[in-house]
Amino acid sequence: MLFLLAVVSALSVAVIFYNLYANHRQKKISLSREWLKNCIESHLRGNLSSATLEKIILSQKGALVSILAQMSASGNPEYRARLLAVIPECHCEFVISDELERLKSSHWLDRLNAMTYLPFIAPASIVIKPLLHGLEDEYLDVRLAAALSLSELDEPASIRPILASLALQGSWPIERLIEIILRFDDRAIPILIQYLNDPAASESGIQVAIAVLGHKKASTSIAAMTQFTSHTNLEIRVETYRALGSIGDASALPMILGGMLDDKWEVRAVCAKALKHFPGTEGIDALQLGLTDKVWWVRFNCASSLGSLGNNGKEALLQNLANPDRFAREISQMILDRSHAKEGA
Amino acid sequence: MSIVFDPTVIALAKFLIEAILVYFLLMHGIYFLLIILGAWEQKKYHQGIHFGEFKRISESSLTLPISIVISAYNEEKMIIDTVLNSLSLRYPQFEVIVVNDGSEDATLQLLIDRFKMIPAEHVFSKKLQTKLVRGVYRSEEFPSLMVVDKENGRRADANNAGVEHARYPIICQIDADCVLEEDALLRMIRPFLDNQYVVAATGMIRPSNGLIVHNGKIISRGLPKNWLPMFQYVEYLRAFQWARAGLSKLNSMMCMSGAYTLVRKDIFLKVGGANLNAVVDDFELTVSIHRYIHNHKELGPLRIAYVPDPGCYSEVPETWKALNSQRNFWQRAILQSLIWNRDMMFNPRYRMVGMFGVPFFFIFEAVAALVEGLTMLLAPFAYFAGLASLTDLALFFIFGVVLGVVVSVSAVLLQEFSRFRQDKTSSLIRLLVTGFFEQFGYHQFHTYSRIMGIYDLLIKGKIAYGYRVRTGYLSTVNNTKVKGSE
Repeated sequence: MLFLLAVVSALSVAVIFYNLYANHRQKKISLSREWLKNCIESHLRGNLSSATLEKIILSQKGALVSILAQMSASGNPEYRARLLAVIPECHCEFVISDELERLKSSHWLDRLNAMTYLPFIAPASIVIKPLLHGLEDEYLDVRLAAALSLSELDEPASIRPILASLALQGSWPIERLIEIILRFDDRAIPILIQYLNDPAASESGIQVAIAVLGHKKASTSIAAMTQFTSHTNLEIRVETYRALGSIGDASALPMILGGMLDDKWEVRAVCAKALKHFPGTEGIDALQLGLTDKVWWVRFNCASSLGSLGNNGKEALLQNLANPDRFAREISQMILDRSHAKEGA
Repeated sequence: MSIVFDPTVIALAKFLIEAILVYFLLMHGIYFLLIILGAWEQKKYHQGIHFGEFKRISESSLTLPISIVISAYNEEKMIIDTVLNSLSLRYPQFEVIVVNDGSEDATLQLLIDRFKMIPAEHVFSKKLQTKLVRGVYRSEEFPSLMVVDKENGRRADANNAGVEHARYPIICQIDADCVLEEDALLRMIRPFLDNQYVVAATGMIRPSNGLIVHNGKIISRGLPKNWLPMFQYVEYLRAFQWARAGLSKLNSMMCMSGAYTLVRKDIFLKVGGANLNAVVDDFELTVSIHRYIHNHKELGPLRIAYVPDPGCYSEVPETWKALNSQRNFWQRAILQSLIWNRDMMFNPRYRMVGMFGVPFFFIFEAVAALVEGLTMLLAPFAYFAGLASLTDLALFFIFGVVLGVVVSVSAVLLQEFSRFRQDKTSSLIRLLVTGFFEQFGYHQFHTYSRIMGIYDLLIKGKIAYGYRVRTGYLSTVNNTKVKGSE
């Protein structure tokens, strides 16, 4: 009993002391971080010499890496380049060496942090190789950090290794990988098209590549995508039609119209959505036909797409107000109401 | 002083006393295990957040859009603040659906006036049975806000109607008195983005009594002024800081709070939505999802995630009457759901849920109040029968108090490692002191409410409950008046 009482008292006192310590530490850290950040900004404005900043950095070196990363993440490319120059100007290259050393740490969290911060403190020529090596790490989180950093550096040569490392079926939600590849600029397009034509490409990788090409509206990729409109993998088919719709090129229309006849409702639904980018009569006719599809989502997407197709689409919806099918009547009314409300606003 | 009793009665009493001792030791043993697991879960959560992650989620066009569903019945005091708070959340794409569940006060009119709501057509796929929807309104000012006005049918019915009208794949259910942190959705969506097998996620709730909110934004996070909500504050810390976190680590988290839960819309519809016959729908919804997960193993390792981060604040009762009523129906909800799902108990087919989650909730939650009540009755009997001296009883009581304080202090300690630790040491000391005084009076009252809950369900067959009348402290209209109970 006495032991328990002692435990509870000790625990309570420990909580109070921890609270005092943690609050004090937090205040101290945020003050010193703020101070270092202001000093770096003063240096960038030319108000603080490199020698003085070097002394300050040496007294606060623990915080430097994360502060540079934070400042860099919220600035434009020019500002980032200037921040990157701070380390050599102040003769603090040891910070980079330390981070590179942390890449070899046995603790995954150290490796992850080093992967995350390196692109903000060192030039691409130094960090790309270790980051590519990081894509082979045993921990998914570390590989992810390496991929994000490579996308930060916008190094297109790393796209294929990233796909090889992270596009593994079932291990990672595909959307996160799409986000990472999307961060690369348009130099990624030919690499992704090449990937689509590679027989060794994984199905998840193909799905990611198609989605990214769609988001980037890469009309040059339509030819490479054609082969996937009849792929056995449903997810690849869905992604292909979605991408073709986003690209919105007239040459993709026949393929999407063909997709409206697919056996799987998921494909028909995505094609119905894709048709909102094609204002011609062919598309509108297919959408009107789709209003009586047996699956609700297909019908709903057809009506929504008609609503997005300007006057011709609205005309089609008006015609459907007299449709014998109750759903077709009601959804047409709803889409027209919404469209009027939007116009009013 | 001792009275002579029949030897059989004495033998039975001795057996019961020993069984109760084992029961409490086992219960606290599991609690300590959960504290350790909860701390581990919290550490893992903080380690898992990468630099710039929430910025990326908030800027990505691929982040899953969310439909926030708020069920409201006679919520005129809180609803405007709650909706403003929801509309001001930082998230790339979301809609807010307020379901006016046949309110008899000015809830609907206030919404119409404040947000310039106009009647609108809304076509949706009818999958669930709900009470009649009288109309749908859209806001001219906030395009992402919709109000569904329907006949009264209790919270489950309102939630079902809201989900049916939702157009996004993830549903966030909150109560009409909930206040969310600005980044709450960004944090809650993480498990869905990191793992395709996550079907639902629930987070940490703290009492909002003491919170200062202006135009839907949280200005300050203080502690409640009164003792009663303070006791509940410590209770919430225990429940969310380690209990749910630990149970989640064991894949046995049986209660996603209805006040703050994200669930995939397709899964919500596949389990038949919220159960209209349940006393409270959240516990039953969690069990239904667990059942679905285990009956559909071919879909992969589906799971319910727990986010150990305080992202939601909910009003707790300020009066004993309201508290009694709330705990009574919570007790009925747990017991009713466990009775309905008794086939899962010790059923290896349901893995940890069957072998640990359901038995734990039945033995140490649903019937715990009865065991405590029995202990209170046995104590004087043991004294008069000469089975225990006054010193023994006092020691036993102190032992119980100390163990209770240890689990509370552990919760306070874990809170110190969370995002919002107490910034004033005086507040922390208040919390610790509350954890001690809670054992004298409040805890016994809580036990009484739960025993009455068992009685009401099993003997009186009472199922229905009303919505709680809010204090409305967030509103400038009424800052002090406490109206009462369900």
